[in-house]
Amino acid sequence: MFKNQRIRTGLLGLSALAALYFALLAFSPEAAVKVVKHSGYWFVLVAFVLLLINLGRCLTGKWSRWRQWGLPPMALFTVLIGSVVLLLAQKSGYKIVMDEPVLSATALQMHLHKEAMTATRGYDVGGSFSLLGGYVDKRPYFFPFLVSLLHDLTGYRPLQGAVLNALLTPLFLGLVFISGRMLSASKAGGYFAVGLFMTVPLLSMVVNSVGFDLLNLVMILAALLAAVAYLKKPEYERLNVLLLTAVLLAQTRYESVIYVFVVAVVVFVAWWRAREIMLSKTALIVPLLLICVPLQHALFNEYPQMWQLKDGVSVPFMLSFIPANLVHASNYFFSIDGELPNSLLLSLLFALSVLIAIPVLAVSKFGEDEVESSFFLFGAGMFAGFILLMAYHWGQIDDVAATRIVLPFLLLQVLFCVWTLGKLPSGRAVLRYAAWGSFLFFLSVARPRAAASSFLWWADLSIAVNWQQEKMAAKKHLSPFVATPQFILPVSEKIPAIALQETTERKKEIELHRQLGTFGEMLFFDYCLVDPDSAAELKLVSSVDPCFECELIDQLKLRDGYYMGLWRLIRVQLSDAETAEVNQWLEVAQANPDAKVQLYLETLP
Amino acid sequence: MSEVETYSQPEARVSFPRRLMLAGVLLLMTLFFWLQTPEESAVTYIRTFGYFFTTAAFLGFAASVVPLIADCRNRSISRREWLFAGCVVALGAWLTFVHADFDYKFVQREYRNAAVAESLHVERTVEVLNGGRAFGDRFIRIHREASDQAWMYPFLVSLSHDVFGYRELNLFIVNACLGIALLALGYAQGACFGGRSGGGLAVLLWVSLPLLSYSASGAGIDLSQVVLLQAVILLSFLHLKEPSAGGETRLCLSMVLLAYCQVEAVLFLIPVACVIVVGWLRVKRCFLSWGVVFSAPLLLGALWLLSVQPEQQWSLADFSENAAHALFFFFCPWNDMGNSLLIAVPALPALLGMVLLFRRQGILLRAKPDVLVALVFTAGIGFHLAVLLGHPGAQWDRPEVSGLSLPLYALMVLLTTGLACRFVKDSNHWFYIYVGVIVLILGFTLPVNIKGVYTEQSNQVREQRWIESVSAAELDPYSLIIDEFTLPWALRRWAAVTPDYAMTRLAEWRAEPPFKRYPDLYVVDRMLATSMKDSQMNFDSSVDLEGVALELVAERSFEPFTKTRISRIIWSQPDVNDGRGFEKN
Repeated sequence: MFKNQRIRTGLLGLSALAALYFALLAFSPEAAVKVVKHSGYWFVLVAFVLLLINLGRCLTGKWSRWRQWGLPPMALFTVLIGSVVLLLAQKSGYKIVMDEPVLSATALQMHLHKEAMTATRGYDVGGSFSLLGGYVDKRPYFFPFLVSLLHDLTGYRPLQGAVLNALLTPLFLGLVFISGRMLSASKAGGYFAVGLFMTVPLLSMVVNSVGFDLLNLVMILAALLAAVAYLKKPEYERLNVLLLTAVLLAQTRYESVIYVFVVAVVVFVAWWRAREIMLSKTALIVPLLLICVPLQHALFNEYPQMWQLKDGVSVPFMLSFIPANLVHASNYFFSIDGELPNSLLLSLLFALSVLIAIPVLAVSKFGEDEVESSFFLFGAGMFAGFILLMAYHWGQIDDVAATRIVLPFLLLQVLFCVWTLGKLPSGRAVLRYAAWGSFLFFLSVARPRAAASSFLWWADLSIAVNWQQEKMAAKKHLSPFVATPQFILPVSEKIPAIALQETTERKKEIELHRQLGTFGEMLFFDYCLVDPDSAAELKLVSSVDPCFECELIDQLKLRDGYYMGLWRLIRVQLSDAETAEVNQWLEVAQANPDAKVQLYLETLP
Repeated sequence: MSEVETYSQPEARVSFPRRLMLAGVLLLMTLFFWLQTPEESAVTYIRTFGYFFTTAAFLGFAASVVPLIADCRNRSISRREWLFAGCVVALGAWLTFVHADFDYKFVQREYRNAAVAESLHVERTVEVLNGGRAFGDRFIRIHREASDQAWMYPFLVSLSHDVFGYRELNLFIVNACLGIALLALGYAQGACFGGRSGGGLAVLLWVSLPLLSYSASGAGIDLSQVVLLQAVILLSFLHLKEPSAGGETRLCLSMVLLAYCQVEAVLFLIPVACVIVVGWLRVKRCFLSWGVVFSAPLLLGALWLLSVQPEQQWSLADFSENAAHALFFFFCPWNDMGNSLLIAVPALPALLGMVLLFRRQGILLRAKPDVLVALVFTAGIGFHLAVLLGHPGAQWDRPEVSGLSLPLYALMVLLTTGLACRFVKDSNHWFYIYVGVIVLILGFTLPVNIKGVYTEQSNQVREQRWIESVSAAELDPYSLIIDEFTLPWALRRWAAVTPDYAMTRLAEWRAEPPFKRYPDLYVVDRMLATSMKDSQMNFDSSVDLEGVALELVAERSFEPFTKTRISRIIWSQPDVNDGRGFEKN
């Protein structure tokens, strides 16, 4: 069916028009949010399944064709050892809050309801944790989708994202090795690429995080290699793998949509070389699979606060941000004080490579070698991403909350260094020494730095969130109820929770369920200052409404005079009017036993 | 035909007329004992002899299956095939159990199964122990009650108790093993129809059914029935393919075991009888194997079980009402039941396809075994369904009854697999079918498995588990418990009585607290919240022990607006001469 390429081209045009219509015109912002909520999971699932099928078809049968893409035993050993060392370099957990707990809560919603939504409210109703509320988040859905798939196949774990990242680590290093080997046409290039990237302490941080940045790198490399494979031998299955990788990459990180255009150029180059248009059936639906990306972007128009604009900033992207952000970038790249997760070796080598590359580029011919063509197209994409970051209002990459956004540019730096050094006369020998040097640098500088610091030492929020997560995990067997400023965090632990700011509003419900014994314990987390009157013992001043009578059971010092406290609720003082309302609920429950469950759900705090 | 030659040899030792005469006599005796036994005697006979009927049938079946296994090994099925089958079944089991919560699903019924299994293990009697008293390491069985439920599953659990020792976990291990056995039998059935592709499809279809995950992780009897039904269907297929005396024996004995799985399972005798007769007609020979000869007496326990069932009239009104519930259950598109649209939707066209195939193949005797088995069991299971649905309360969209739908699911899987194996020949098409089924399992089955649809019932399970943990940590194991639900206490060898019984003894206890027998008395009270006054909530107690002072031990809420409280009874005038005071201090 539709074997004629002209008909397929026409159909692709129709598909693209339909995608544009549905993505930009068909839905109001409110409707777009609903469409994303209900269809987001399924679009990603279809793309992922199609990718697996096509990947399987590419790889079946002719193993000899793919031998050059595999890892020799020594490289495999290096990759595995490297992965273990990176994974042991830091403690696994939430690194960037609230991004990572939100991703976990989104994965939970996908796991339980197959909806692309972030869970914010959940209760243990009759023994199974039921999600009772949430919102459609701005963050792309491929990472939560993979985490939810892991939940589906291996059972639920709150920090499943860290498990996924641990599984992705050897895959990432393997792909780095293959890319480096291809670019330099020598194994030494592969080892050098792996060693050089490992010298970036940010990588240790990311592989032990619960965020989507490692997946983004894996997908960029996968798309790059898929482009090489397609350009080397244009086949339908390879085209499908390339397109579907791009579709999923576009749903991995916000700015990764750039690579959709890069892949479009790669496909166009392949057609240009072959002097014919080649479209598979899968290619026809690719525009439709991308519908959710612009629909989700509509959220930013509907809720501008999602840009998290700082005071005095009115638009998220401006050219005027670039100079200041470049200063911050240079501060990150060339920092020597050890407080930032940078690699001075990589920065210096990249600077050197840029100088070396000028004459190399002058004498090189482009467009013939598939590896170089793909690398330069994807390199352009990575560079465009970096420029976009520099024009972003939060593009100060020496701020640890933003540093990880620079990872694709670091990948570009690594691959560029490999390519440039490989182009030198006796490049293989240079690469071999460089590889040894990079591993030595990793062991002597980068690894101790990663062990010495989480690089989050000044980030109160991250520390406080991890502390709360540990406390909640330890008390989970008591079926607690939690009130905390970071209320998404307990939801991802499958613990019923409420925002601390909402406790006053819901105090009747809280007291009702305290007296009923619905929860084993009711706990309050709050950021607080030390009471200036505390003399004999530490007293913390909480912002919790005084009608909540609580006892302090634990605290964490965040900085001098500033703590996070953990309180146990003893009782809530209700006014007569509030008591009368509680009595009303109890009367309804007695008078109408059929409405008991519904009333119970409505009165949950 | 080697099987026929091999296993028909022993039959030749006793001539056919003698076997026929013996079968007739045994059948008449069985009918006599069944019809002439009064209900009260039937209860006693089931209690006393029930275990031995199932043991005899089980041993006979096990002995008859050994040659089949040996034959499988001789058939040179490659190691690769075994490995593939093992991997598919393991994958199916993984997907079935990955989110399973191994615990009771329906407290009342499943605790009774546990109690019957315990009685079979300890006393070899089919009964439920409701209460007793502990003397040192002995537990005296006092309150016993006859069981009117089929006891195949408790029998299997009692076997596991016999082998591994008495543990509550055995209840769940046995059902989990039965779940895996169902997948393996499903694979075997599918593989008989269409090789690897058919086997894989059958397993995936079963995996798509959340009800399987619930049943295989609980302590209900439904799964044992469907496993044995699947075995009967498979053995029927093998028998029709190569009729033999050995196959006939296996089929009959598996049918006998099936009859002990559920009260209504005796109805499956009809399709099995059809298969045996068709087998005779196909080879133009009446085997009348030992299995057939001894089936009737071995079924006597199941027939007595029919006699002791409470009278329930079959009615067309109930049937039509329940049929609507059943249709709703099978085709419910929302994820709040344990059904599988993936099995139900293709089943109807598959049935039509089978009928058309049968018509094309001509008369009964020339039809292919797969088509014949599918149609015979469609009729048999259809009849079983009609009987079940004609009784009040058989509303399958109620979670506690939905397990009865499993035989129909077995039929649907059989029909869909059978038809797919006949018509799908292209490996690409199989590939697409597999991808579709796996996506639907990920998208629909696993979320339902995770959610668990028996939420209301699981409140009671959670409450029981909490009571167990509190009692283990806070209560003296030789104490007397006053609880509405005494069975779980008896299973754990605790003395327990109901509040009604306690009321009858209260005056006596108040006059003289029973310290000589029990160090303490505890009350489990389920209290309903009524009002709040002076910041204090008031509750209505469900246990009215007038004039008794209580000391709170622990309390939690499991049902909406209800609190479960465990309290210790404090006697107003403790006996100072009693040693208890000294012991406590």
